[in-house]
Amino acid sequence: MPDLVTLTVDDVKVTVPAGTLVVDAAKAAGIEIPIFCSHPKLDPLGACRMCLVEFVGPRGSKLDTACTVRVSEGMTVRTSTEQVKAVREANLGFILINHPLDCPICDKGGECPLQDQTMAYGAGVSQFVEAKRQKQKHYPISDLILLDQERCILCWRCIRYLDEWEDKPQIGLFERGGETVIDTFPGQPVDAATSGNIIDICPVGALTNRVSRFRFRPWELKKTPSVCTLCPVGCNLRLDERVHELRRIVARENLAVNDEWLCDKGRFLHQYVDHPERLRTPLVRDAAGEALRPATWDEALHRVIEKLGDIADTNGANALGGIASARVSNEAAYLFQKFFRALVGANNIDFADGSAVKAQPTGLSAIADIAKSDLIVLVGFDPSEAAPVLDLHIKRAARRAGAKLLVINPRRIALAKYPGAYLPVLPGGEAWDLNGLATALQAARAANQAGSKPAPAPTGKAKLETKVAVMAELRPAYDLLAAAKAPLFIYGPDAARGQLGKLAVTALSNLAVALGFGDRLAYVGAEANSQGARDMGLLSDTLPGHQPVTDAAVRERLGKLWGVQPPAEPGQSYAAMAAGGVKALYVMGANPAATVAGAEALHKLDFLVVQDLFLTETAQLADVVLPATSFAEADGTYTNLERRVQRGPQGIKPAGESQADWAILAALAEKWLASQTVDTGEVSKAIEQPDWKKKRRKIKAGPAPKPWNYPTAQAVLDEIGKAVPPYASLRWDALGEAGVQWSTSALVRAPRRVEPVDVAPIAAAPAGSFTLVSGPLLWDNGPLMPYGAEQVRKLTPTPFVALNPADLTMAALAEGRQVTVTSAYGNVTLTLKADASVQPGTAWVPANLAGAPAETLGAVRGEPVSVAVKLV
Amino acid sequence: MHAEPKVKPSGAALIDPAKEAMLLAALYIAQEQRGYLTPEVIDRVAARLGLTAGQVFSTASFYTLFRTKPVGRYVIQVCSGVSCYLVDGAEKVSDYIGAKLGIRPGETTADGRFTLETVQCLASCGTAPALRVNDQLYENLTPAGIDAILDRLLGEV
Repeated sequence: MPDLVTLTVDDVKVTVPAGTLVVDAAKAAGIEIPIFCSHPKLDPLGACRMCLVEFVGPRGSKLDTACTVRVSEGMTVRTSTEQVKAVREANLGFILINHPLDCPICDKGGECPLQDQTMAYGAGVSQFVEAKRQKQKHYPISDLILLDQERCILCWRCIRYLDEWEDKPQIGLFERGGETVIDTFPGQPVDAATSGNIIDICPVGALTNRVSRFRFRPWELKKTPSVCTLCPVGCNLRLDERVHELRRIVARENLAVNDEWLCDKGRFLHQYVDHPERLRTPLVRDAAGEALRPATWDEALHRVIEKLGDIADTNGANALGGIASARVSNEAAYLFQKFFRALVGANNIDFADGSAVKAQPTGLSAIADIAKSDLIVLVGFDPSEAAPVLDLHIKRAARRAGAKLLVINPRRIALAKYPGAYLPVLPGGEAWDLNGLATALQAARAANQAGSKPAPAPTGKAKLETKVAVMAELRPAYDLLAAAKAPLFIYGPDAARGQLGKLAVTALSNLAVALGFGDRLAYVGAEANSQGARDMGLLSDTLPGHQPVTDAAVRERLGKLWGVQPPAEPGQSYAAMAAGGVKALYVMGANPAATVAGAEALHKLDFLVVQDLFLTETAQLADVVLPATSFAEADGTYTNLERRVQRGPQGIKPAGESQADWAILAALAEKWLASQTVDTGEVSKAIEQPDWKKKRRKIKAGPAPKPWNYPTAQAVLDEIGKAVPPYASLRWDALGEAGVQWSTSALVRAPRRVEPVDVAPIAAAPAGSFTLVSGPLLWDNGPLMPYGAEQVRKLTPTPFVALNPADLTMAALAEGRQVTVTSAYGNVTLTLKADASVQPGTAWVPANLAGAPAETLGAVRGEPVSVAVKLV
Repeated sequence: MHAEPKVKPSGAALIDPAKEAMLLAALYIAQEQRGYLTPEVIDRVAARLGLTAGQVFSTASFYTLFRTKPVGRYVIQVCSGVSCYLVDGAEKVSDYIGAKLGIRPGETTADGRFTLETVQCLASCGTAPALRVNDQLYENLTPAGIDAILDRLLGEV
């Protein structure tokens, strides 16, 4: 328990923890002290003088800033005396001396703290008759943000945010006295990944949003609290809608998740929702099989049912498969797997990085645990690119709480600059190093715990290897791990794919268990709802609730709920299905045809259904395209990387005839079920029925599926509560606006123990070639990026390959040249870059660039790939 | 006695005092070598000290003794801070010197001898109006005093 202090604010006695600022203590007493520079998430400064209040002492009272003075026992504060009122009026007068009166054309007008406080505390008349200072107006300090120096009141919030949270002090205070301005250094625009937060916290209209500028007045907006679906952090945000258009996204406070921050992708990438190229009606391939033509929902869904039914009847259920994106809501993911398991009768469902990755079922224990850790181990996970708000939390832990970072990655990621250690590995080589560390730590632990149960002794070979390894490059990592009292282990898909990835995860798990922190191991997926997709069983081998398909008891329980039990055989993986393992494929939100090889495989399908927002490369090949809504246009829940199930309610009317993913699946299932029933004549009341509507499939022998009756997304969530035990209590209303973490106690898990790992070191690429390294880039060419605003789109680099500067010199290659990069799986032409964070002998090609170069070269196959780099 | 509040490290704890302390000295050296602080010089100082160029420029532009543009041999900095303004001095002093030298504040004489600047506060409020010529401070200025200063400087050239 922290020490408590009692003080009196305007005759109200209030008790707060020692160290609380007076401004916060007053808030706790229900008394508002006006502020500009003070911010609950920034260090105290006392720059604006707006919060001056009277402190009553033995020698009379004196004025001081409530935002910098901390409470003490028996303190008496007065906030509404004549003196305080006079000081506030005078202070606002000073602030307004040089503040332009352009409120009518200012984006902040209507939600401006300076406007509001001038109304509440200002004098009402100005004494100022001189000319105002002229400074630079509305000019860009980055692609995303405009600065108006005349409006700035020099509160330092933006300066402090970029310094204290981003560790990128890119905005400074230049000149002095009345000429003081904030600015960036010439030629060095703000490039912090969460820079947009300075727009939210600016107390005036000095910093404005270039994407949403002049597109609304704040009072016209319909505001809907929602969550971001661009990465697994699940930042809370607000959708600002006006006249059926998503005008702006701003951060929404959730102290457990994102404090009140958003990354720039989450904030600025929203114009895709209103993009003219959105699919607005269903499309079906015409009779000639050449072009896609608009169709009614009825026709499109019947075409799907008919074709899927025919192929299932002819080739068996296993000829049908479904590939989904893990960006979709829990409701969509749940109904998708239920459609295949309960109606089609196959476990052929998966998502990219789904069954190919060995994930911990429980995710991160809590985002808040980052601040409580003394060592954060990041294996194949780059939060700066993959999850920028998590990056903020980690940087904060490193700089404020003294946490050390152990970075195990093929590339020296940005976070590797903080105290700790960087351990370079080759892709796929993580298991070797992790196993060496785990074995050494187990041995050390066994030696220390003489008398208690000894850990399994390493074999002769492992012992030797371990000894050698720990003596050399593993030593710094070993020392950090051995000294850690509260470590946290986070790994990402780049270290966890395929067979080598499984070994790496096992070795990492052994490492965590050896240190006694097996429950502090977390997997963070690439897509926003990866955790939810796994919870829902959107996997070929796993049922809802993280239970294997081979578990008869779970199948029986689901059978009671669905009317039909899911099949016991594990289904086909994403890679197997995309490579032609099925004859008909249902793709929801994914784009396997982004690579040429992927597209070729899909050409061989008998039937392809694509459900998406846009006519993706995959949709262009489809026989039927179903238009889906974005997260902003439909109710849904999403589960973030710490198992927090959060509501994403509808905030805007859907584009055209597009429908929610879950609703499309529900409608499809109803038609599927109807096509299976015997025609009693009651169903067909329509006057003119096309032939395909009359066609009925034979009833299958055995139990019949229960009817699908989901009037709302909330009804789907109710059923999820029955199918996924940890979700039992998570009803829509219960989630509230901050979401609820599902409890791991409801999850039956195998006890964590050390499993032997048989692993060999990864050989470096042969001389003259490089080992391909890939991974996420924040501003990639991912599924929605091409449909963002122009300012956002231009942040994506032209496709490139980066080599270590030394390698570049050695190979006599020059930066900026066009090169052909060739692997066993394909070749691509890229621009060559030099990058010191790329380790010698490796070639860095980020994931999801235009034309999918990394994917074409085989980067996501979960095996080392060597590439040759030659001038074009 | 009140209980000592348990305070978390504030913003000051984030700044490496060694880097910050070296900044002024580094800027002095750079200015001595280059005459004034070009963007390239600021970038180099920033890189050497592990600071951002913005942080370095923030400091360089705060202190009136650092220059970010080429200047004349004698830089006359006339204080235009509040005290100098209130003794009815600031504008008159710079106007007077400007008229004598034929330049306006911010300009340098054609022969490169004098640069006239107005600056924010020379911390000489008790002896306003004040000006500085290179590193020399002159206080309690009068027209006669200014004539004497300029005559002496012209004699030196």
